Amino acid sequence: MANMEPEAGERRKQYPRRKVCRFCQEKSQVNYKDVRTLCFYISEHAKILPRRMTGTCAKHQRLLAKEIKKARIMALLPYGPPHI
Amino acid sequence: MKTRKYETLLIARPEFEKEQIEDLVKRLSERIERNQGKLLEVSDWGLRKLAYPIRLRGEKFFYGRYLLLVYGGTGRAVKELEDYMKLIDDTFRFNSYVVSEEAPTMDQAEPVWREEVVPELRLRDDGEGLEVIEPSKQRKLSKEDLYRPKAAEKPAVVEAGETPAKAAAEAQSAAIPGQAAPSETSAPEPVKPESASENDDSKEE
Repeated sequence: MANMEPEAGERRKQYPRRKVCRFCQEKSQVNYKDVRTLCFYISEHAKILPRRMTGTCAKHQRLLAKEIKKARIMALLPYGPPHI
Repeated sequence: MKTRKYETLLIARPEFEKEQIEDLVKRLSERIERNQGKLLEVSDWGLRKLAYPIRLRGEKFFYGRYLLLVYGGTGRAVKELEDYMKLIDDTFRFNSYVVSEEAPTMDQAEPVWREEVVPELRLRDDGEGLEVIEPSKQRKLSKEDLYRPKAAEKPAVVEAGETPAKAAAEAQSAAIPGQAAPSETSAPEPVKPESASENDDSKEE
């Protein structure tokens, strides 16, 4: 048990800041026309990022997925990485 | 039928000028008004690069003029609007959504025109990930940009690459016509009898 306690001079374990749902915090709505916001929730290969990475709540993640798909239909967001 | 507030985002042909856009909106508003609807707002996003090329009847589009129409009406108005857009070649992609379930006030005579610049999403120059290009940094597109500059450059590069190789091959053949030809033909010839003789020897042994 003595080994478990942090020794003198040893830094305590730092926990990362808790992620919060941006839409709940700002009380804003997800919209397919808002490309600037949606860009934050897609990866560099244009995939929808999971909830564990962005911290979005379950409700807004569902809406977000729908809105990203709407934006893809209108060619505002890509379906995948571009072919070179 | 219930009256709601709808919006339709459509992509028109990239070469359309202001007058052609106004004419298109006029035709579309006629379809809405036929079904007791009213066009309230027109938002012109201008010429934008598409996230991926879209094909329509043998044509490939890399750019498009985005228009957002906000109108009040019934579902029948939306149906007729979409049916009309399917028939014409002026628009190549559209989608309609309900903005609010409540009926809007449809007193205004003319629709409100707005110009909006929406940021574009592009691949970074280093090829790692996507980046948003803010309206202030967006390059103003001219008519010449509609024809993909890369596609025009590619054949020129290929020709340039092929011509020196061809020229070098021709120069070699021209410089030593007598020497090059026999050396190539003579080299395989002596191998065959040797290999044949070796085989014969092995068989004999």
